[in-house]
Amino acid sequence: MLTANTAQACKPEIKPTEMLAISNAISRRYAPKPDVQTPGLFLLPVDPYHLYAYWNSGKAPILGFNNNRPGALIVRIYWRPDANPDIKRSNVWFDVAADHPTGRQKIPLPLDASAYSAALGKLKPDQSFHQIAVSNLIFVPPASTPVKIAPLPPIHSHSIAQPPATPLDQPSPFTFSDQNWCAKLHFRQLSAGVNIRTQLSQFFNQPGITVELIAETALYEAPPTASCQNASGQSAC
Amino acid sequence: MPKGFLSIVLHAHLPYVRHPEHPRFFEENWLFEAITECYIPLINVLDRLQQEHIDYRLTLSLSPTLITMLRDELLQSRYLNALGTLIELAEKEIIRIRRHPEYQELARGYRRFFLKTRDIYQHRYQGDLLSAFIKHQKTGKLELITCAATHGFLPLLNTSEAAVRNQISVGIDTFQAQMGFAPKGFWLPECAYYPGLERVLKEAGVDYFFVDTHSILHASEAPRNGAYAPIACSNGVCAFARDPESSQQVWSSKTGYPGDFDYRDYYRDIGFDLDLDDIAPYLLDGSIRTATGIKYHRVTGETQPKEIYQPRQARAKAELHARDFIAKRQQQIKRLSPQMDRAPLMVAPYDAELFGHWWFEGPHWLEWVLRLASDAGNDVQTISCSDYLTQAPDPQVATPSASTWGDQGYFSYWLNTSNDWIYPHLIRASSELETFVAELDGLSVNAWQQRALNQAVRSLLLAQASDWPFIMKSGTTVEYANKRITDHLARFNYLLESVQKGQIDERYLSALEEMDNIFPDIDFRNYRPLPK
Repeated sequence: MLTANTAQACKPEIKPTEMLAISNAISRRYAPKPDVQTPGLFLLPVDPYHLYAYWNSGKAPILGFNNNRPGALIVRIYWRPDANPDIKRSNVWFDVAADHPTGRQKIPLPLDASAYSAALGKLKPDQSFHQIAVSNLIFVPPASTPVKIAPLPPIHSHSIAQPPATPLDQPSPFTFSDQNWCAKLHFRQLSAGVNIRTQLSQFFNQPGITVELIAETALYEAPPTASCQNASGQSAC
Repeated sequence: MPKGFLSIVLHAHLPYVRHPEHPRFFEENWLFEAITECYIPLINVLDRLQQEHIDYRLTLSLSPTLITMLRDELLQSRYLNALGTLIELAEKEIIRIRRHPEYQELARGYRRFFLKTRDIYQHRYQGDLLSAFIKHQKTGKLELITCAATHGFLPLLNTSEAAVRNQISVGIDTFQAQMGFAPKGFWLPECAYYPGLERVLKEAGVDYFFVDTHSILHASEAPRNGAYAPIACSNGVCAFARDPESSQQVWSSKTGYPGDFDYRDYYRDIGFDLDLDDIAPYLLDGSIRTATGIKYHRVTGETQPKEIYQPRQARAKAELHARDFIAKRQQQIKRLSPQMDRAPLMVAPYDAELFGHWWFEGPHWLEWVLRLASDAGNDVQTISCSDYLTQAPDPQVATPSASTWGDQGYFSYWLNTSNDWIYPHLIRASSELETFVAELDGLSVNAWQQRALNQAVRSLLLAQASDWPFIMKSGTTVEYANKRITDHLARFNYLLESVQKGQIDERYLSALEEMDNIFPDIDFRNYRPLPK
């Protein structure tokens, strides 16, 4: 019976020239290529205020790349105060235009010392989000030196219909990026939005703050597709 | 009783640069230069301190790739050839500059230095420098530790638990197999830490590791003693922080000791200064100029013409700088002690290759620091981190924050537009291997499949080295770094496919085993994902 040891023992002697030829042959034929077949998305932390997103929409047809246009491919970054790897999204997020079916981008973040995850998807005509792939959960560390407080705490894109994941009256354990962030509020019901809009307008009616309010008839997230998986090839739905 | 402690930690690491497929290979010189200029001079320092019964403590981290290369017969033999060539060059220089006595004296000095190096390498240690380090470890004065298998940048490999686990366990296994004992401490490649890493370290039997200062200062609990005492993670594994002051004094390119005008200039080298006809026989391909290690000038200044190197003056300056270093530690201790609940510990980690290669007088400086610290009257005592944990138990419990010792303090040096392309490939390869190994669970594999899968793990580990993205960012030998990652991933792809298709080519497999002959005891089954 052939064992590992006997297989080792009868190794043929390979001359340097043959080694080089074999190395070159393997590198020519097996050099790593991007996987463009399977949808995927993964994140890597960079520093307290940046992450790297790598995405691939696979064979899913992409209609256009303009942000907020139906069919546009976007990476939706979720702020994840829960830091629970079993949960895939939160109600606090912002979008980054994915201008190519396969790509990578360094993305600025509003908060340090936080967890983030992301979903790759397309906006439907009703502005709902059709999810193609979800990412891993990452953590960015606390900033070394506190930076100035951003004009607006970045609870951007927070759905008013649901309570915020972190109560706003609690002291924040993190600092804010010195990059300006604006809030885009998505209302699930127009009627609910009227009063809140008035209140928020008063609240945010201060110099140096820009608040963009966009009413949406619905914020519906499509159920994950069967091909949804993270960059490790594991089901992430 | 000393009033404060100093823990000097040298991290010795080179990527795996062994190329049997070529008769000579430029990057192998990285190892040869480090042996001549760093490792043997360091051994000389330790030997002298031992002979003179100096009571010192020093920690040396030896990376598994370096350990393997130092024990590799091919590289040992090639090193002796390279050293022989250098001796010949020094002899030619003695003749070439015979009309310039000051330069000729330097050339004679280089000849003596290279001859002595060869004698120590060949005759005192029979080509086995690890035995020298083991000898000093046994005295209790040198603590040897190790790091990840191929110096993988663990926070960016963390999408795969198996990748991190194997980097750590294969690293420790390699150290243990070669050195004969398990390391207590672990050098995180690039001091790159993320919360949770301590769990893998604990499973591997590690007692402590090192992080950069801000990792402790921004720990989950405010550190009571700042960066001057270790903290214990919740599982008991301890983290020691780099002392920024002692680091700055040595590392800083502007204010650090190595930039002193009396020290030998690193960049002026006869490989660049001589007529090409004179130096061509000593260049790899006879035309591309490279450093030889023979340098005649001192730093001199920022702009003025370089003046001739004066070895005695430089050594005197190194002693002076050692005294200054100790004096600064005394001042630090005085300043810190009233604020602390224990004697302050200053951890001073450096790349071992800084001492001798980049800073020629570095080993001399180190020797003086260790001598001065051994004088009880100086109130500074060198200590190993293991001994410190024994002497000062019950460290504060907190979790360090994610960090590195690199530029900006986080991960951006290893993840940016120069090197971001590598990560999807590394992550996918790791995922494919995990999946395949999991599928094989409970199944038997034949000897060829086992060899091919073990070799696939070696290829993947070699692709994961932090050196490649570092080089891509630094812009030095980018082509080589690109090629290494591409080659290792291609080899991985080939091997995995050959097993999956049942088409293992014996000659191909043997060639890959010879080219990447590292981690002989590796077991591909350890790459299976752990049950959740």
